[in-house]
Amino acid sequence: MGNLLTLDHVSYSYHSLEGETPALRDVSFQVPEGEFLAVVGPSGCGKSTLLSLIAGLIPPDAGSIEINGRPLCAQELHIGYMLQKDHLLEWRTTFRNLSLGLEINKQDTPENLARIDELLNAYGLAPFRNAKPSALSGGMRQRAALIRTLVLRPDILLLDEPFSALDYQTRLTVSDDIWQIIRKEQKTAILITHDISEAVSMGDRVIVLTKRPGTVKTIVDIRLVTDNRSPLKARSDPNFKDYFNLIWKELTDDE
Amino acid sequence: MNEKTLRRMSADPSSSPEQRAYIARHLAKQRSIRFWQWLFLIVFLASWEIAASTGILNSFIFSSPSRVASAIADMALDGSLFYHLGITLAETFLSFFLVMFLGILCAILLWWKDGLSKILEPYLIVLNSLPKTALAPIFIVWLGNNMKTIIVAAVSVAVFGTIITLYTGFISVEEDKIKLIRTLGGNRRDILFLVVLPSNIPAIISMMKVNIGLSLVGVIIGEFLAAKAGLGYLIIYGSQVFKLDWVMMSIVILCLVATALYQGLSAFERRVGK
Ligand SMILES: Nc1ncnc2c1ncn2[C@@H]1O[C@H](COP(=O)(O)OP(=O)(O)OP(=O)(O)O)[C@@H](O)[C@H]1O
Ligand SMILES: [Mg+2]
Repeated sequence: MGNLLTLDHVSYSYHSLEGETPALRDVSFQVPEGEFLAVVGPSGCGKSTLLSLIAGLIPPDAGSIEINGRPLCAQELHIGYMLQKDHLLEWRTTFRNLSLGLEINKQDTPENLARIDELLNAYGLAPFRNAKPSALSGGMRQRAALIRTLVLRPDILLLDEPFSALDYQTRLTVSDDIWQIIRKEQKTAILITHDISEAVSMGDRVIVLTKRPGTVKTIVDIRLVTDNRSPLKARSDPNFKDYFNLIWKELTDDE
Repeated sequence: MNEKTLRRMSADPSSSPEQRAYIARHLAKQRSIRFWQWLFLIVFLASWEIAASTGILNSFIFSSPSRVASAIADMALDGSLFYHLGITLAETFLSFFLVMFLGILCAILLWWKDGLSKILEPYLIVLNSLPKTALAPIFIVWLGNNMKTIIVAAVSVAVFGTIITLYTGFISVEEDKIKLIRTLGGNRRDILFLVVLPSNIPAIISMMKVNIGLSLVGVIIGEFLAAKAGLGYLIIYGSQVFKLDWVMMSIVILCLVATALYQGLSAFERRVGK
């Protein structure tokens, strides 16, 4: 399997009157198709910036980003982006929230709209099809936000701390849920998180970034012995603790 | 909740006796408020009438409820009441729609072109804080002694505040909602129509509630200065020829009109809110 996404010596700085803030320096890594990649790093090290770059919302100062061997181009949508909050629009029904991307891209054909209903059915949101998002629980809202990106059939899903607004228990079940959906839809995903155990339990690999300006410190391959791994099962894997400690050490020791 | 539903709730056998007692107490309190409100009005009107008829107040300058009532009856019979009322209402609605239209349009333009809002900001602030009545005489000179002046005066009273308030609402839309639309492939137009305008519907409606009142104020000021018809004209004309009955009558009708317009918009708000 080839690499779906390639970052090559990517750097980015923010500019303001107070001065220049280098956010990312010389970041290079590849993401093969179908991988679930987790990214951890100290707060403010440029994780969200990394996703904005991959999503094409901002252009890199230096270096290149390629998807399927071609340079990133804003016109084509390859990216599904899940923000920290679900940002479902309160004035639209669940269904019309999910069709938002299709409407924007003028792809609201009957087939595509039918797919929304399929996804609603598959992921237990069908009863709330015509309800306002306020009727949904925190977990259902995240699922809806994920489906909203899935209907556009993106090549890569970007998840920027999508569970951090949830309470701990919901967080465990929702991350399990979302992970299963992403696996089932066979999507490549990049998950940003502050939570090391979340990274180890969900990721096939974990990239550890340094303090700002962020650059790749190490990349850890997660190999668990549990069969049929899921984030919840992964947490009781015999290797889980070792990976946790390894990443913890990488994050905390400077230099 | 209106009285009828409350009365039904207070007799609802499916709720507990405590809940029913609570509703009954609430109902009683509401009735007592209503009672005092009516009493206040009746006492006010009665003492005005008595003071006028016994000569404590000069009914020539202070008029009286009965004289106002008969003025209303006379003018309603010969139709002139509806003529003046209709003119004032038409001018108010026209100004109101112009204010809302121009306000939303300009706020969108300012939002669209960030530079434009920076350039125009000081002018908007000056125009908004300027007492618009100061402009009215100029409008008469420029536009003449007619309805155009009235409309322009009324629009000028409300439009600048509307632009500023709506623009402020437009730019305070959550940054991440905008990011969401962009990650879904949307452009500035999509951001405007999918997020900025819909999330500002409540702001627009509360602006409407403010503006219907301001338009009425502007129209009355305009009619004071440049009119041959309308309630404002009636007030000025009445005071000049010492027909205080007309003045008082116009004020009473203005009270009713202002209340009705506001209630109408509140009802509209409730319907949209659902
Ligand atoms: N628009 C901006 N203008 C100037 N500086 C910015 C801007 N956005 C982010 N930064 C700075 O760039 C750095 C990286 O920001 P970024 O949001 O990518 O970090 P992060 O790793 O996602 O942080 P967090 O863990 O808090 O989510 C931070 O120090 C931040 O202060
Ligand atoms: Mg961030």
